[in-house]
Amino acid sequence: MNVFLIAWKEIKTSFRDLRTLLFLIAFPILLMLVLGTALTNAFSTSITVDEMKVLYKDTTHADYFKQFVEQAKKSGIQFKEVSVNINGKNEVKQGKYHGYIETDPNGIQLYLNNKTSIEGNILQGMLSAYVDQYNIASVIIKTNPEKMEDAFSREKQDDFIKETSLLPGKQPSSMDYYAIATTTLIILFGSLNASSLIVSERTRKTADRLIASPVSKSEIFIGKVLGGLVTNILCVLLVVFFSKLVFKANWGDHLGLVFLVLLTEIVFAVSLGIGISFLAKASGGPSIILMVAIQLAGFFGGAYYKIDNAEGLYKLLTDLSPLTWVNSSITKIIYSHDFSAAIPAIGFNLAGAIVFLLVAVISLQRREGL
Amino acid sequence: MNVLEIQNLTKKFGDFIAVDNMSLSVAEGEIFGFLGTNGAGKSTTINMIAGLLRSNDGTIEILGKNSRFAKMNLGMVPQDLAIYEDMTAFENVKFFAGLYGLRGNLLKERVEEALEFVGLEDKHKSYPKSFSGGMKRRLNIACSIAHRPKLIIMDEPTVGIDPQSRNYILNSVRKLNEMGCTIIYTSHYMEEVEEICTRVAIIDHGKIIAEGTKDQLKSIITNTKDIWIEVRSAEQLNLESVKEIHGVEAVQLEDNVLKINSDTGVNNLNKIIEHLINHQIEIRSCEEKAPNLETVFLTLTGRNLRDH
Amino acid sequence: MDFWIIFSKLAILLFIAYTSVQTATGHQAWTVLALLIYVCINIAQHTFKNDNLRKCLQGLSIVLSLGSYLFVYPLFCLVLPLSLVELTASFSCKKVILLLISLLPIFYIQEMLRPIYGLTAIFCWMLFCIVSHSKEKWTKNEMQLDGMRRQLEQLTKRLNENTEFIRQSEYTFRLEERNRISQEIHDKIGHSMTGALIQMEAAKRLIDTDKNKAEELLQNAISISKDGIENIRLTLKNLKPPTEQIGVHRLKLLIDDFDAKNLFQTILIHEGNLDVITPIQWKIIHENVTEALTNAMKYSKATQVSVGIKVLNKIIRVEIKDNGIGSGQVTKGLGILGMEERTASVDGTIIIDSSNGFSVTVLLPLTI
Repeated sequence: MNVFLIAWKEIKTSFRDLRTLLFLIAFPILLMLVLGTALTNAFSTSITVDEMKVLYKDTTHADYFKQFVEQAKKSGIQFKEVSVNINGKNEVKQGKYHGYIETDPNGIQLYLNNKTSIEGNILQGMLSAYVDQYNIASVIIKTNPEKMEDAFSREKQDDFIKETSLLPGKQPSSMDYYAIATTTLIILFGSLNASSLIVSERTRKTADRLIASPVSKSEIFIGKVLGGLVTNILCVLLVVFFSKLVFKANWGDHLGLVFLVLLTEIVFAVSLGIGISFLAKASGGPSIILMVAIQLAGFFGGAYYKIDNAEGLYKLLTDLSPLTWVNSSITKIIYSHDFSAAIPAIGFNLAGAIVFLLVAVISLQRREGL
Repeated sequence: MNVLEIQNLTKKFGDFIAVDNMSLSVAEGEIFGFLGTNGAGKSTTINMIAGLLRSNDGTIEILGKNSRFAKMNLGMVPQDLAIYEDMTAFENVKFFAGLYGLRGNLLKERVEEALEFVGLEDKHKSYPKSFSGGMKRRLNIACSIAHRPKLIIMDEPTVGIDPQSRNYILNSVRKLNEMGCTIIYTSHYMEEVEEICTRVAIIDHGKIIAEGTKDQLKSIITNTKDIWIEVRSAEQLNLESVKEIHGVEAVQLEDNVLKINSDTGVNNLNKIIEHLINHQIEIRSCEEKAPNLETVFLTLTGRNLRDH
Repeated sequence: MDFWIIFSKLAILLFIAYTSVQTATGHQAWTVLALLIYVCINIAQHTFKNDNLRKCLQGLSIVLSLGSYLFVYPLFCLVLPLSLVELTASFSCKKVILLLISLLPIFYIQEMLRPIYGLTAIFCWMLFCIVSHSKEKWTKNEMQLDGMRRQLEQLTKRLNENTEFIRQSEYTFRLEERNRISQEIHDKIGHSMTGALIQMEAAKRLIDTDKNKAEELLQNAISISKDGIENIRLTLKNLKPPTEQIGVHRLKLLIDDFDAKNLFQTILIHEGNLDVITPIQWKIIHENVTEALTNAMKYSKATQVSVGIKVLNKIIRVEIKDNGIGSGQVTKGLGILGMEERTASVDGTIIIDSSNGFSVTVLLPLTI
C-alpha cells in the first residue's frame, strides 16, 4: 500500500514540475517537428535534379542531332554550342557544365564529370536512347521506309528514367523516422529524471523522514521506481499519440507490440538512471554521466540524423547504442511486420535493466539511510 | 515506564567515535533535552534512535521494542527541513501521515489537526516555497506529529528562525507534552533547554558527562548561589548580622555592592531584603546569580557551548 | 620486483624475434646471436649484487642493442629504452629525466621505427616507475616491520623485567613492613606486657600473705596493660599513612619531576576541599595524570601543561591541558582506553578534547 502511496506522490509531483513537462513532452514534440520538417530532403524518395547544362560540338551539321537538341531542351536541358576558343573537356572538368558532346561522322562522344553522377547518368541514358532510336530508324528506313512515321509518331518520350521501388510508399518519411527516433531518445532522457528519484530525497532531507517512518527501504525503492516508470510511460504515450494524430507519423498497425518495446526501453532507462545515481558518488555526477552517455547514444543511435551503411568502428559504436536496437526493432515491426524483431530489443533492455537495478539494490542495502 | 532505553550505544565513522558507549533512558511524559556543542554527537544519537544510522554497538528500545511498532510510535523532526517544496502544506502532511497507515477520513482529520496545531490551518493549499523560515519549520513539525506518535524527537527545531516562531514552537512542544507525548529535544541553545526540558543530558564528545533535572545538574557544581545587592551606602550595616540569616554562607561588601553567597536550597531573598530595610539601607538593584546550564557545561568541560 | 622488468624485456625480445622471422631478413643467424647475448647480459645483470658491476652490464646491454640496431636488425632499438631507464635510474631518481633520456634516441633512429620506439619507451618508463615505486614501498614496509619487531622484543623484555621487579619489590616491601611492625610491637608493647606479667606473678604469690601489697601490684599491672592497649592503638594508627601522603603530595612530586625533566612547564592548581577525595580516587587521578603527561611529553610539542584539580559540589574535575598542537581528530589508543577504563571503574567519565591544544578532563563523582 505504501508502495502505491510513494509512487502516486512521485507521479503527482513529476507532473507538477514544469521541467518534466517541458523535457519529456514539449521537447520531443518540438524536436520531431523541427527535425521532421527540416530534414525532409534527406528522406524524399524522388530526386530533384538541377537544370542541366551541356556543351556540344557538332561537326556533322546534320539535322538529326539538332532535332535531338531541340527535343532535349524541352525537358529542361540547356544546350550550348561550344565556341572556338573554349576547350569543352576542360569546362566539364571544372564542373561548369554537366557534359560535353562531340559529334562527328564517326559517331558521338560524351564527356562527363564524375562528381555530377546523377546528371551524367541521365545524359548518358538520353544519348543512348537517342542513338538506339536513331539506329532503329536507320534500320526501318533501310527495310521499310513507309513505316517510319508510324514507329515514331505514337510515343513521345520525355520520361527518361522511371523508378519502381519494391514496396512503394512503405519507406519511412522523415516525420515517421523522427517520430520513432525522438520518442526513443526521450525515453532515454527519462533516465535523468530517474537518477534524481532517490538522490532528490537525500538532498531534500526527506529521506530521513521516509526512513524514520514504518516503511521499509524496499517499499520506498519499489514505490520510487514504480512512480518513475508510470511518469515516463504517461509522457511517452502522450508523445506517441500526439505525433500520430497531429504529425500523422506512421506508428504502424501493431501499436501493442511497439508499445511493448517502448515499455521495456522505459524500464531500461529508469533502471539506468537509478543505477548510475548509486554508482556516481558526487552530487552532480549522475546527471553529467547520463547526459554524456545519452547524447552519445543518441548520436550513434541515429536520433539526430539517419545512419545508413555504417562500417567498421562506426558500426560497432552504432550497434552499442540502445537506440539502435530499439529503433531498428520498431522500424521492422512497422514496415516489414517482423514481430520477431521485437525479441532482441526487449531482451537487451530487460537484461540491462536487471543489471542496473541489481547495482542499485545492492548499494542501497549497504548504505545507511536512503 | 521507559519510552526510550539506550544501552552502550556506539557509533564510529572510520576512526572517529561519534557516540561513545552511551547509555540512557527516557521515561514517559518527560521533555528530555540533549545539550551539547555542535558535533558533540547529539544528532548522531538521534539519527540512530530514528533508524537513519546503524549503530556499531549497543541497543535501542522504543516502548520496549525495536521494530516497526517502535517506528509507528515515533515522530522525528529532523534538523534540516524535510518537506517537499513541490507539494502543498496539506499534501506534505498527508503524504507522511499516510505512510503510518492512516487512510480516508481519519487521515484527513489528523492532517487538519496537525496543521491547526502548528498554526498553518489557513495555509492548506499553499506551497512551502511561499513560506517564511518559521512557517517551514512549523510545517516540518506538522509532518512529524500527524500520526500522533508517543515519542517525538526534535533535532534543533529552532535553528535560524525569528523569535516569534521560536516561541510558538517552544509552546507547541509544551502543549504536545501536556497531551501525553514524550519529547526528546536537542539544542545547543542553553536557554531553550533550560526553559522547557524536565530532564537534561549534557553530551560532549559522544559521551553523557552529566544527566538529571536542571537542579540536579546545577547542584553538581555548586550548592550555593550569589546574590548581588547594590546599595546606596552600607556603612551602618553589620555584615555579621547578615550572616546569621538562614542559608547565608558568606557576605562581602565591594563598592557598595553586597555580595552574598547563599545556599541554593533555601529561599531567603525576602529575609535578606527585609533585614536591609530594617537597617534603613536603600536598595538600588538586586541580582541573583544562580548557575545556569551554560555554567554547568563550562565548569565541567572547560569550554563554552557556543565556541564552535 | 625484477621479475616484471625481466618479463617485459622477454616480451620485447619475443616481439623482435617474431617480426624478424616474419620479415625474414638476411641476418637471421646474427639476430639470434644478438638476442642470445642480450639475454645472457641481462640475466647476468640481475644475478649480481654489486652495483658497479650491474651498471657495467647495463651499459654493455645498451651498447649491444645499439650495435645490433645498426648492424644486425633495426628493431633491436626497442630493447634500448628499458636498459637506458635502468642505467639512468641508478644516477638520478627524477622520473621526468628518465623519460626524457629513454625518449632521446628517438631523434636518431629510422623514421619508420619512431612511433613504435616511442610507444615502447613510454610503456617501459611507466612499467619501471610502477615497479620501482612498489619496490620502494615494499622495502619501507619491510624496514618498518623490522623496527616494530625489534621494538616489540624490547618491550616484552622490559615488561618481563618489570614484572619480576614488581614481584620482588612487593616481597621486600612486605618483609620490611613485617619487620617494622614486629620491631614496634617488640619495643613498645612487648616491654609493657612483660612488666605487667611480672607484676601479676608477684601479686599471685603475695595474695595470701600480704593482701595490700598484692592489690597494689595488680593495680600496677592494670595500668601497665592500659598503657599497652593505648600503645597498640597508637602504633596501629602510626602504621596507617595519612591520606594526603598518597594524595596531593604524591601528585606534586610527580609534577615537579615532570617539570624538572622536560622542556615544558608543568603546573598544578587545585581548588576546593581535597580531603573528600578517597584513596582509590587519588590512585586513579594519579595514574591518569601520569598517562596524560607522558602523552603530552611525547606528542604535544607544548610549552606548558597544566593540571587542575577542582572539587565541586558533587564531582571532582581533573583537567590536564597543554597548549600544544592538539591532534585534530582523536583516535583512541591504548593509553586513552586505559584512562577510560580506570575512570569508568568509579563511575566517572573522561573527555578528550583537542580543539584547543590537547586536554583530558576526568570527571569523578563524589561518593559522599
